[in-house]
Amino acid sequence: MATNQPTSEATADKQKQQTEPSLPATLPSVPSLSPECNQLKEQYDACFKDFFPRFLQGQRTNDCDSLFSSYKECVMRAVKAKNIHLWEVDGTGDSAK
Amino acid sequence: MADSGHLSVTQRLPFSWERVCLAFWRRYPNPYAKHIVAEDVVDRRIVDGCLHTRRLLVKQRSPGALPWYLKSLTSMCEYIVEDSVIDPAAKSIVTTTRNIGLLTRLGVFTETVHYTPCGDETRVLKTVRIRHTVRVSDWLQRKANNFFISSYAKRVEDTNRGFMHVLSQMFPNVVEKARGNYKAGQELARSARQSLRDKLNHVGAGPGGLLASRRIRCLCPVCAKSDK
Repeated sequence: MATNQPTSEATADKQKQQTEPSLPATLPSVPSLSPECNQLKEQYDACFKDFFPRFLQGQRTNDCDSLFSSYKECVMRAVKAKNIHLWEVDGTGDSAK
Repeated sequence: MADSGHLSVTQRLPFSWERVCLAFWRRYPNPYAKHIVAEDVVDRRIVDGCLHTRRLLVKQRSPGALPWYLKSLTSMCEYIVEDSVIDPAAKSIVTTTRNIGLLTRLGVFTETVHYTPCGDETRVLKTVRIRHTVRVSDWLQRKANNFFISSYAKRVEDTNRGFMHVLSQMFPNVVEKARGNYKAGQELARSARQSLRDKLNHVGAGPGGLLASRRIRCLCPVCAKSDK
């Protein structure tokens, strides 16, 4: 009965590295600029953590766009409220939405 | 507007490029970056297979962090914009980080970082430049440039340590393996030194040895065995 066993620890480690799981959720995170956006941020971050390893493997469609647009709206409200000139670094006149 | 100060530093992270990518978004918080108090993604899109992201970071300064001639120009809270481009095909991360807010009245401090694979590790090349945005007195600009460059040079190692801290938490097996290899190497070196010391003391050629001056070779089984 032949079984597919890794021949060495290095091979097993390489196989494990190639099928790296998504980012662990146990690491702490930094809060958002505005406390109102924290929940939206956590939801979007959770989606992105699942998407990003697949992006590194070649996936090009972003599954998290809908979550991102609601999160971004909340952040932009906070940016405007705090009068942060976010787009001045471009110098192109692209105003914050 | 000419650059008025710059610094280049090369560092290494003993983790593969893919692992560095995965940890890239989890760099904060870490014990070496307690001043980062908020973080938000303000733009993210995929263009030509590359992930373009713009993040807004909020840095809270401690009261003694700024010299007196800069305190009046800014508040204790500073906003930083980080633009990053991750190219999985070329295996490259490029980040450009700059300050926005009150201090830009004096100058813009821009840090560019390239993360590229280097064997089993990731090479990190950091370049920081200061660009004047408005002409103030030569004295103030010179003092400010010196302060920003020296301040950056002091904490550039801490930023790498912070990244290492996060990578070590996410991938402890890599760290343990490296640590194990290092410990095994140290153990081998220690036992080799000890056996040499024993041999020298037994022959008497070591410190305080009676035979040191005579250079006599010991023929006892211990030394004969170690000679093989």
